[in-house]
This record gives sequence, structure tokens and C-alpha cells, in this order.
Amino acid sequence: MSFSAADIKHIAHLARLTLTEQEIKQYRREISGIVSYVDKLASVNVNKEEATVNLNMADNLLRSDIVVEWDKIEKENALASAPRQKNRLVAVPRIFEL
Amino acid sequence: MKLNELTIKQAAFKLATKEITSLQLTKACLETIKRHNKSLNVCLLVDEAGALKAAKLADERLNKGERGALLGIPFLAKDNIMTKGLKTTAASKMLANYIAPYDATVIKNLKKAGAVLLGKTNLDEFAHGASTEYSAFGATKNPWDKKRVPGGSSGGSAAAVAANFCLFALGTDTGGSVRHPASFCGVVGLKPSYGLSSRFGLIAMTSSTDVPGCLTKTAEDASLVLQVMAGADKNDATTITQAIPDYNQVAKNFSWKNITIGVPKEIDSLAVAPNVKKAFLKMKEDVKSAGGKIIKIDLPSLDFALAAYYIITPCEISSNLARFDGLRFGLPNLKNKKLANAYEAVREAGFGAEVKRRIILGTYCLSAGYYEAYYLRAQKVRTKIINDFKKAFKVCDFIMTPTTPTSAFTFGAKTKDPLKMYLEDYFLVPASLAGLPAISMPLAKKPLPCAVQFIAPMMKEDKLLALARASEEFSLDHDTKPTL
Repeated sequence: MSFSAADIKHIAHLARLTLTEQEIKQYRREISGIVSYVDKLASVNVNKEEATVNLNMADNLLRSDIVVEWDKIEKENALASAPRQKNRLVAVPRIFEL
Repeated sequence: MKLNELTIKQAAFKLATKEITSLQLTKACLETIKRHNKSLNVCLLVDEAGALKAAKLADERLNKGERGALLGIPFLAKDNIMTKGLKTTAASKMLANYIAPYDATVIKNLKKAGAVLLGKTNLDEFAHGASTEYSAFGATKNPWDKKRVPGGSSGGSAAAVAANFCLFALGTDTGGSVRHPASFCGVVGLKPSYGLSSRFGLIAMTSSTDVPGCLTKTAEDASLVLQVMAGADKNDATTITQAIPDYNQVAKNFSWKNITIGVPKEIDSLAVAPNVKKAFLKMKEDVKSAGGKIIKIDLPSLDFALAAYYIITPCEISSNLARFDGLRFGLPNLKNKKLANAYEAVREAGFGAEVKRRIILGTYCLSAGYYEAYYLRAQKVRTKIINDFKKAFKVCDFIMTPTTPTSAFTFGAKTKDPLKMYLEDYFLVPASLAGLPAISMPLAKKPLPCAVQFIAPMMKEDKLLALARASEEFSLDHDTKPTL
């Protein structure tokens, strides 16, 4: 499997990564090599196998939808992690253009 | 013997008999860290004030007559485990200034038991790697030879235990990240069953295989730490509700006479370094002399487990690391007004090369048209691997492999070819994909450490730890220490 520069750019865009020309060149080579290796799975017969999604969860586990209070330090630290705040709320760039 | 060189078991005895205090023990660890951290780059953070305070509290509890295997015992935690009020960076620029608002469940349990948190250890960025060279804050050096890597991704934790910075350390194991550095650093590395111990508060990498684990000086110490780490947690829906056995008690009934160990015949055709091969063969012979049975088993999935792992892991990484958008935590979004630009700018500045590589690979494997060929197929292969193990455990009690095919390699030896680095996990990913408990035990320490891995059926940590303890009798160079 080989990847073109456009392929890598497209995938990077899907993942919201910007890459330099140097990185594109490097990842083209490396991702091609890794994908060629993992492609060996194509030869494994899995027609009869179910996919393992979770190792040990037979049922969904439910818990009450209630607010659990954090202590003051936890709240302050969590809020302080946000790079931008306004009136004790996390401020983010505008999502919709008006 | 210096206090920081004690095992947990030895230190707990001295604390219980008031021969030493936790404060003395903690100070001995802090002094060693101060003296050697610069040359080894093991700790990303040392919380001296917090540790001294916790040690004094532990001494008060001891003075009141309370006893506990970890009460007053100093430890270090890998820096992808949340520690309340302390920086938790995952060795990434993205989280360079991130302060964890709460404790991971494993940290909470350890603190409750009276263990003393000394600080945080280095790792490959977000735990992606097998050498600790991918840390954004510089590689950790192997205490046995500073020109060599400590393994990874829990390289800081393994090196910390080898260098006696602490009595034990916490790591995380997704595809070998506790066992691999344990092998390179000559310490014990335990990866518990998936679901035995809570993942709550671990910075997620591959949610379907991540587990917290421990690095210790002996197998007995591993059982003491696991006793506190294990247990259901309502904050991690994948933890299993079941009675936790007394891991120490079970070990007392061990006899080699009742034990059959399977060695995958596929190993014979693999390139294993002469020193590892020799030590591994000696272990096999010693087990047989002691009355244990060694048989060859089929584990055909060994050959494609790594390929399945390097599909599943990048896929889950690309999804888990999507949360790093610079809005709620992480790097500031660099004044970009538009949301899409803000995401890209933050992720470009925050992520290192291996993290980007895995995100790109995972995004590709999950993208429209490829999901079935890659992720879904790998999940089906995973079922095959689980069934392979089930079949194997019908004829043997444990499976044994070398932990790593070689001893520690030199810096830069594998960073140019990512696939070479991935191959380091060859013997380690099968147990991770199947969720099985596995432990790496040192075989020999000269000229460099090498190790054996034992794998047990799901949730059979009690039997695994009993076996590991008995196997220590056959390992070499017990008293050999690294010169720091």
C-alpha cells in the first residue's frame, strides 16, 4: 500500500492536523510501511468470527443521572485548565458565523 | 542497606515494628531522587512537600496502631495517571501545564491505604512507544547503562524502581508498556487482567486494552500493590465485580508438581538474542527440575497479533486524542478566531511525531471505506486470538515467553523506523488483546537485564503471582545493582 502526498494531507485534515512538507514526506513513507505490515491480516480467515468489541461487558451498566458535586479545589482546577474563560465559563471560538 | 533499597515487604515490617518511620523512608527516597534524577531523567515532577506531609500522616496512623502493607510506603506514578492538584502531562507539550483536578481511582486507593506519592515519572508521549524516547521532555536513561533506553512506555517508572527512587511505581500497560520496561530495567512488571483495576483517571490511549499496572522489586511486592489497586469502580463500567482473593495467602499453597507451562512453538523460529535465549532455556530446565511440566503449545495467532494491535491501537488513539482541541484543557488556542484553525494550531503545536503518526494511521483505518477492512477485521482477529488462548489453557496452566527478544537497545537504534519499534511488543500484545494477566520477571541482570513473561487465564492473578514468586528462586544476579 502506498500513500500519495494528497492522501496524507486528506487524512491529516480529517484528524485536524496540519503537517509541514517534510512531515508529509516522512509520513508517506512510514504510513505506507506500517500499512503494508498490518495488511497481513487480509490473509487471516475471519469468516466465522464475531468482532470482539469489549472484553468483559455483557450488559450495559447504568447509573442514576444525578449531579455529583466536586469539591472546591477540583472545580477551580478544572476551570483553570481552560485556556479562555468568561464569567466562570469556558470560552470557545465562535462555531457559527453570523 | 539504604532504606530506599528495601522491598515493600521489608519496609512494612520495619514500619510495623517501629524500627523506622515513613518520614525516614520517604526522605531516603527523596534524597536519592535529588542525587540522580538529573542524570537519569526519571521524574517529571517531585512533590517533596506533599510527600513529607503524607509520610507524617502515615506515621501518625502507624503510631495509633494501624497496620497495612502499603501504609507509609513511598511510590511514584507514571505521568499519564491523574494526581489531584499536581501536574499530569502524559509527557506531552499538549498538557505541559495541565493540573489534574482529581485523583485516578488507583491513586485514590493507594492514598487511602497510606502509600506516599513522591512524584510523577517520564513516559513516551501519551504512552505511545517502547523506549521513552518519544517523551516531549527528553528520554529517560536506563540505570544499568546510561547509553541505553529503559524501555517503554512506562520507562520512567521501571527505571525509578531499578534505581531505588521509590519502593514501587505505577505504570500503565496497553500493549506491553509495563512489562517491556520491566524487562529492560531488571524489575518485576505486572499487567493485571482488563477490568480488574479501574482505568478511571488514566489518560486514555487504547480504551479496550489499557490497564493500570505496577513495577516492583519482587513478585510478592506486586501482590501487595495489586491487593490495593484491584476492585470494581462505578466510574469504570468495564471493571468486574468479583471477590478479590488474598493474593499473599494463595501463594503459600504453590507447588511446581501441579504446574504445566506451555511454551508457544512459534517462538523457536523467532530471532531472540543469545543472552535472552540462554536465560530462557535455563528457566525452562529449572522448572522441570523442580517438578513442573513444560510443554510445547500452538499459538498460531502470535504471528498476526501485532498487526491486529497496530490497527486497533491507532484507531482508538485517533478517537481518544480527538479530545485535545485546546478548548477545555491543553495548550491555549493561540488567538485563532476560527474554530477549525484553532484546533489545527493547537494540535500542531502540542503533539509530537509518534502521536501524529498514530493519529494519522488510526484516522485512515477508521475512515469511510476502510473501517471494515481494518478495524472490524482486526476486532475479529482479536476474537481468534482470545480463542487461541482458551484452547491453549485447556492443556496448560500458564504460558511462558521471553518478555522482549533482546536486552535494552541504545538510544536512536529504533526511532528511525517506527515498525522496528512496534516489533518490540511482539510477545506482549497477545495478552493485551485478550485482556489476560501477565507478569515480567527478571531472569538475569548481567551483562544487561533480560526477562521472562508468564501469562495466565483471565482473572487468575492469584495463581500467576504464586508462580512468579516461585520462579524468583531460579533467576540470577539477585544482588546485582546498577551503579548510578
